[in-house]
Parts: sequence; C-alpha cells; structure tokens
Amino acid sequence: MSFWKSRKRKDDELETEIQHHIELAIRERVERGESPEEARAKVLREFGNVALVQEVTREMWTGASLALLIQDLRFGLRMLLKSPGFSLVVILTLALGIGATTAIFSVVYGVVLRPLPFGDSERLVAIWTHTPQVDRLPVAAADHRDIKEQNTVFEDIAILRASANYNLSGDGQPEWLQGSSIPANLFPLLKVEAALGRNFTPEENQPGRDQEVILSHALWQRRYGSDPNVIGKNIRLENMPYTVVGVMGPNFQYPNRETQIWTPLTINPADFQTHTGYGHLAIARLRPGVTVAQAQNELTTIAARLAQQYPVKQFVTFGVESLRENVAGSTVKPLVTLLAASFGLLLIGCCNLANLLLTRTLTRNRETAVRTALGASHLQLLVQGVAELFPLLSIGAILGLVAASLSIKSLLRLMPTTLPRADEISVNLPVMLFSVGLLIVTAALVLIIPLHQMRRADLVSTLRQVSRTATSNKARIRNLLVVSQVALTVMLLTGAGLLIRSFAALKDIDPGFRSRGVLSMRLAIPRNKYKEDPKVAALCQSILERVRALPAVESAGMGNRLPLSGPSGLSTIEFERSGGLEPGSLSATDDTTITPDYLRTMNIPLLRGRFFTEQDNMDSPMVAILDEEVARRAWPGENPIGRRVRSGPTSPWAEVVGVVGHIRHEKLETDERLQIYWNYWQRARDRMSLVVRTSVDPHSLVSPLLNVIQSIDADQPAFAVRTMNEVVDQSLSLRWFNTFVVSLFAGSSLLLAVIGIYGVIAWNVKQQTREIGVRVALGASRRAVLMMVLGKGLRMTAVGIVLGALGSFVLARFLRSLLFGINQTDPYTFLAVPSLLIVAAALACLLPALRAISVDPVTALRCE
Amino acid sequence: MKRRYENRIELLQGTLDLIILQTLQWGPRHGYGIGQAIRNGSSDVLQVDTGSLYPALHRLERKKWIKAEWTVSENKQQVKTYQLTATGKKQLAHERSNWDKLSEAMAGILHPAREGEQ
Repeated sequence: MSFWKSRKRKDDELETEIQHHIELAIRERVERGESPEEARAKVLREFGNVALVQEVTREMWTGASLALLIQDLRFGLRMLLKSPGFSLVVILTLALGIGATTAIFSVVYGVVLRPLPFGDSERLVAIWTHTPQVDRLPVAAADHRDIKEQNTVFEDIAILRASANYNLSGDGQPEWLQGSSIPANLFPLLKVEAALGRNFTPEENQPGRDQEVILSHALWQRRYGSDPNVIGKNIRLENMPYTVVGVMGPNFQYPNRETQIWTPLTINPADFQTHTGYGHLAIARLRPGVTVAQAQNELTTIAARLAQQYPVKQFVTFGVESLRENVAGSTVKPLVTLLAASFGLLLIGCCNLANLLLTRTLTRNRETAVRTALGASHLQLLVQGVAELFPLLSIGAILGLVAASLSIKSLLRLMPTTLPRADEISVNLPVMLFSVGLLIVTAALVLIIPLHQMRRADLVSTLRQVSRTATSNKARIRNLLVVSQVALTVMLLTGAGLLIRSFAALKDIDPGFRSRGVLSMRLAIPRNKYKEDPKVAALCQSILERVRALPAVESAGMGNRLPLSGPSGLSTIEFERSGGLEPGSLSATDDTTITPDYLRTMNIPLLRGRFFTEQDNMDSPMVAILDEEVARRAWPGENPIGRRVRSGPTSPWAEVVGVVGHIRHEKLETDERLQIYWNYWQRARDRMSLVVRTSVDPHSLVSPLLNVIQSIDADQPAFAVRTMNEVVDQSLSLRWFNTFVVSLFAGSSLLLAVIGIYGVIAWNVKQQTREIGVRVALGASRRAVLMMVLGKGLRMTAVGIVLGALGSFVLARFLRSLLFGINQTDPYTFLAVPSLLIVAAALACLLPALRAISVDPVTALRCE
Repeated sequence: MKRRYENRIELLQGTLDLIILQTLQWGPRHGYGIGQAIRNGSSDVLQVDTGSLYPALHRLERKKWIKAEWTVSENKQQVKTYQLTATGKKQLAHERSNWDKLSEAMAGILHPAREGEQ
C-alpha cells in the first residue's frame, strides 16, 4: 500500500519537476523575444519525448543495479545469438557435465543417500555377527535375545528370516514367491503399518499359529486384482492353507524389493540353546539421541560378556551400522567411482568454459578498460559477467537436467537388477537442488579466472593495446587450464582403461563350462508334498525324461546350484589316505547334487573315469565325482578313481567314479571353491535347477519346458528362467555398467580436452600471426613454423600427461578393489592412455598449425 | 528509441555524474539550471540531453551523493532543487582524480608515445 502511495507521489513529483523545466525554458526563450507558441514548440522539440524521459528516469528509482542487470541479461542474450558457435559449445559442454553428474547423483541419492521409506528412518540400524572366520554373518536367535535383554541403546530390536520363499498355487498359474518371515514387532519398529488389514500379533509368532500371511502391494494388485476383500481369504503356500491378514502399501519393500509375501517368524525353542545358529537379519531402532558409535560400544561390551559366559562365543563380536548404509551395501564403492568420474568430466568442461570466457574477456579488454575508467566498480563487472553468462548457463543446465532425467530410464535398464532401491531413483527435488548448487559452483569456477584477469587489467596498457606482457600472462593461465584439463583426462582415461582391461580379463576367464545354448530354470520342490528323498528324485527323473523327449533338446540335467550364482555355504570333505593314515580333509568345498546328464549339459569336461548313470541309484554303492582340484590335492600324482571320500566322520564313504574340470562356481572373479558332485538318488535336494542344452534359440524352449512341468505337477512352479549366457552376464552386470559409464565419461572428457587444446592453440596462432609473418619473411621454413605450433601444443599436453599419470597412480590404488586380473600399474593402460592423448593433441594442433603455415607474410605484417 | 537514451547514459555515465557534481559545488540548483550551467560552463560545447540529465539526477539522489528539496518559487510554483551531500563532495574529489587518469590515458592513445612501436 505505502509502496504504491509513495510511487504515485514520486510520479507526481517527477511530472512537476519536468513541467517546471519546460516552463523555465519557455520563459527564457520568450524573454529573448520569441513568441510563446514558437518557444513552446522549440522547447518541446529540444526536450524530446517527455513520457520517455520520465520512463527512463523512473528506472533509476527501482534501483540502478536491477536496471543494469536486465540490461546485462539482454546483452547476454544478444551475445548468445551473435556468436552461436561459442554459445553452442558452452551450452553443450555444460549440459554434458551437469547432465552426467546429475544422472549419476540421482542414482547415488536413490540408492545410498535417500532416507529409507520408514518412519524416523535415520534411527534404524542393522546388526551383524563377526567371527574370526567370517566378517559378516547374520545374528543367532539366542544372541538376539541376550542383546535385547542387556542393551540400553535400542528402543527395540527385531530379527527376521530374510528369505522364506513359497510356491503359491491354486487360483491360477502356480508361482514361486520370494518371502520373508518376520516378527510382530518388525512393523512397529520400522514405523510402518499395513495398508489393508493388520500386522501379525505376537501369538502368531508361536509355532503352529503361523499359518497367516501379509501380501505385498504388487502381489495384491497383480494376482488378486486389488480385491479389497482379500483379507480373510485362504491361499495355498507349499500346499498348505494360509489366511491373508494384511496388505502392505506400495512403498514397503523389505528386506528387498523382490519380497512379495510375509509370514510370521517362529523360532524353535531349541534354537535358543545353540548360540551359533547365525541365521537371522537383525535390525534395531536407536533410542533418541543415541549414536551408531555408542550402540557399537554397547554391543562390544555385551559381546565380551557373552564370550565369558559361553565358550563358543569367544572372539565373536557384533557390528552395527545405519540400516540405510546396510541396504546400499557393496554398491556404494562402484557408485562413488562413477560420481567421481562424472565430477572429473564436469571439471574438464569447466576448464574449457573458463578458457572460452578468457578469450572473450581478452577480446573485450578495451571495453572493460573503458568501463573501468568510466567508474564501473569490480562488483559491477562481476554482476555484468554473471548476467551475461546467465542465459548460457541456465540453458545448459536445463538441457543437462532434461538429459539426465531422460537418460535415467536407459541407465536403469543397464543397471544390475540386484541394485537395491533402484525404483527410488529419479530426478527429484533434492537431486535438482544438488544440480543448482553444482551450477553455482560451476559458474563460480568458470568466472573466477576471467574476473581475476579483469581486475588486474592494466588500464593504460590495455587501452593502448600494444603491450604483450598482459597477453602473455593470460596465455600462461590458459595453458595452465589446458594442462590441468589434460591431466584430468589422463586420470579418467586411465580409470576407464583399467576397468576395461579388468572386464576384458574377466571375459577371457574360462568359467569351466559352456554357457552358449543352455537354458536354465529353478524349481523349489515342496517337502510337504514330496516328503521322502526318493520322491524328490523321482519327480526330477520324470521331468527330465519328458524334457529329453522334446524336439531340439540335446541334453538335460539338474543340479542344486548353478555356476556363478554367488556366495553360498561351504562344506568340508574327508578323503581316504593310503598307508593306514587317518583320513585327510579339504575345506571350502561346494557339494552339488546332480543328475547324470548335468555335467554333459553344462559341457564340463570329463577328465577321468565316468559320469553318473541311471544305474547309480539308492540301491547301488555311494558314488562321487570330483573336480580336478580336489583330486590333485587329495591324491597328488595318483589315480583318484576307486578312492573314497565322505562329507564327514559320520557319513558313509563314497567311491570316486570320475574326475571333471574345475569351474567358477561363485563368480568369475574368484576361484577358491573346490567341487564335489553327489548323485541325486543318493543325496536328494529339493532346490534344483533344470538345465537344457539345445542347438536352437534357448528362449524358444521356455514354454515347452514349463508345460512339461505343469503336466507332471500342476502346482509346481518354475522360476528364474534364464539362459546360461544371461546368468554369466548378470554376474557381471554391475561391473559392466560401471565400465560402460566410466568409459563413456572418459571418451567425452577426451573430446572436451581436444576441444580445449584446439581452442588454445588456435588462439595462440591468431595472436602470433604477426610473429609468424616476420619469421616467414625472415626465411623460416614451413616445417619450422609447423613444428613451432605443434611443439607448443604437445609440450602442454606432455606436462598434463605427466601430472595426470602421477594422479592416476593414486587413483589406481583407490580402484584396486574393482580391478581384476591386471596390476594396478597395468603397463598397457599406462602406455596406451598417454599415446592416445598425444595423438589426439597432435590432431587438435594440426588445424591451427596448417593455418599458421599458410600465413602470408605480407598480410600478416599489415594486420593488427 | 529508448535504447538511444540508454546507450548515452551508459557511455556518459561517469562523465555526466562528474559534471553534475561539479556544477552543484557552487550551491543548490534545479534541473533546468544544472542543464544551463553545463551548457554555459562549456561554452555551448556540451549539451546535456534531458533524457540523460534527469535519470542521472535521480540516480545520484538515490546514491545519496546529492539531495533534493522542494521549495516554492516567486510565482507560487513547486520547484525541486538539488544540492551536494557530504558523500557527494567526497565522490566529486574521487571522480575528478579518476577523470585525470582517464584523460591521461586518452592522451596516451591520441598522442601515442614513439617508444615501443614496432
């Protein structure tokens, strides 16, 4: 209100002031003898447009700075349109840098930083057991009870069985569901509630009362058509009736995003007696104000007390960390690597931008000097600098944000499916705030050097523009920018090179089996339907018989564990020794139960003896097949066929009938697990993987195979249907993603560096036109001129390469855990990257160099 | 049309400010008077456009280098007169030395020294 009043008053005052001016002017003319009409006409013409004068004057009230700012902004827009090449380079460089960083940050934010979708989630922690043998183990039920009783730091603590999976049958196709068994206090602890129905009650955590389930939102929508009356419905899990008591909200995914069903956790009272049954995830809520470090101290104290109480607990301790970090787990390091790479790219882009702007300030030095002489303050120059750049920066940033949000979709497709919380990744408000902050920092970085130069601009010499000293000083800074750019590019390329070499080394690893042309799928055979081992084996046998009869099936087998399917429990075997010695033992073995054709289907080579046959069964003597490693370690230099092995002092001996090739069973990277194979009739397992080798496209076999299983048992689902090639690829997916994105960034940074080198050399040549002309006039050969220009560019590049190589050694140490099969000072990478940069730099210098040798001395001397 | 004024303000800003401050050194004046004083003081060489003069006056007022006062003239008219403030006086001294520097620089350009030329 008062603002408008005062504005109105000021308007009136200005009107009065100007009217007074006009009257005085008229009066003077009349006094000189002009007629009043004539005088008025002349004065008005002299005065000009009254309204316009008022308007221009009024602009002064709103603040000179604002008016100037608008003017500068407009100037910036004009510049943008006037020099589209410059603008395009600035915009694209910025879009690339901001886009890459934003996209990766959105992944890091979604997976690592974003608060978990639970109430007050920063107070949630995960607890694990640490034994001398294994760093991280789940928690034993007895330990959970003891921690719960003795601690003072947790509001509550809950244990759950992370995977309790079920075959769901009845109403429709049977399917296999990943589930989890949870206690009644889990949801209150997480501060979440069922969206429909209710949570479990403590009574339902008692054995025998646990036939109840809570459905995930996705399962409820997909299988039950979002039926609101699903509560109370009976469903069949493992051929047993369960009652639906609740449905969770769409955002609840715990312990992982595949979890579709929750059942009550029951703990066998006997489990409380053994203190080493490390089988449960433990999560807790810290009391308000308690830190993770305090909780760790308390747990260490409790562990020490338990160690005194129970001998088995000696050297066993507990670890604790925030649940958020726990969920992100091992993905943190690769993601941080990616983020660092994107920052490197942005920084390289900044060097280019600073250099471009520096060129512009140089060409506009005269203007700046005149402005300074006329009283423009440094602040005004700063505001001008920012305002002129603003349109470019904001267009670049917006483009970058758009590119980031578009690319996230394709990024997500490339990302490993095991990435936790991947569906929480998006360009959301915190990510945008990050990008805006990034833009501000970028603008500051880009502007700081040109502005610094402006401040130092020597008025008199700049106005004369004859001095070379100021110019050479600036040339030094430009060269410095290029050197740092090259150094950063060397580091990024080296990082990418090391990752690519690691990936190639992994791809070269012979996993010991042939994945091509093999389809796999998993079966979870319910024990309440197939109670005895022979029934399980018979089911496998009848499925395999029908599968073999399918056209295009070359061979088919089953094994309880697919190669490259990650870590799992290890066992120990004993082997018979000659000369009356006690049996020897080998630890860290994988014992796999297989059907006769499994090894043939996987193309694992037979080295000695024979594969299992259908004649090996329950009634025949126990048989075993070893991999070459076990054979070599147990009986070095001897024939293992006919020797005996067993899985423990109380187990029966089995005769070794064959020796086969060793395979990578856990993952391609590690090769520590020894392998022993048992016959499926003699040691049945209810979790089996069906593998089928074919000469046609393996995918074409999916539905015939599912039909076979359905026709044998309509309630039996199969899941995780993948070709073995896919199994191999999935085991490498995080690494592949990492390598791919880092290489993409490194490639972009090389491009930026080439542009940077080109820009500086081209500018140098332009500045030196006269000098080159003089040299040519004095008889310098073209070759000498060429070498001069090339030499300058290559010298800068060489300095950058040396610095970058030093940085790369440090970087490689950080990357060490991500490398495979190569040394962290891999000579190929450390030779290839500098060579690549030298070639790229030479190419970047070539165009300006050619321009230099085409300089005509006469025109050159005339210019300036 | 508007840009014409703006450009003039920008180019003449420092100079015009200096001239106005200098003119007000001898006592308060109204806008028209200042214009006339500049004209007379420069023997009609400098003619200050009203489109530059009034924005400059209002800007200087905003910067508190000059202050305005409303008086009533002999024929009962409201008249706005401007006078220098203490900061204005300081600024005047500062701008003068700036001007000396600039004219030295301009002299350097217009009458280039013979040394250093190649």
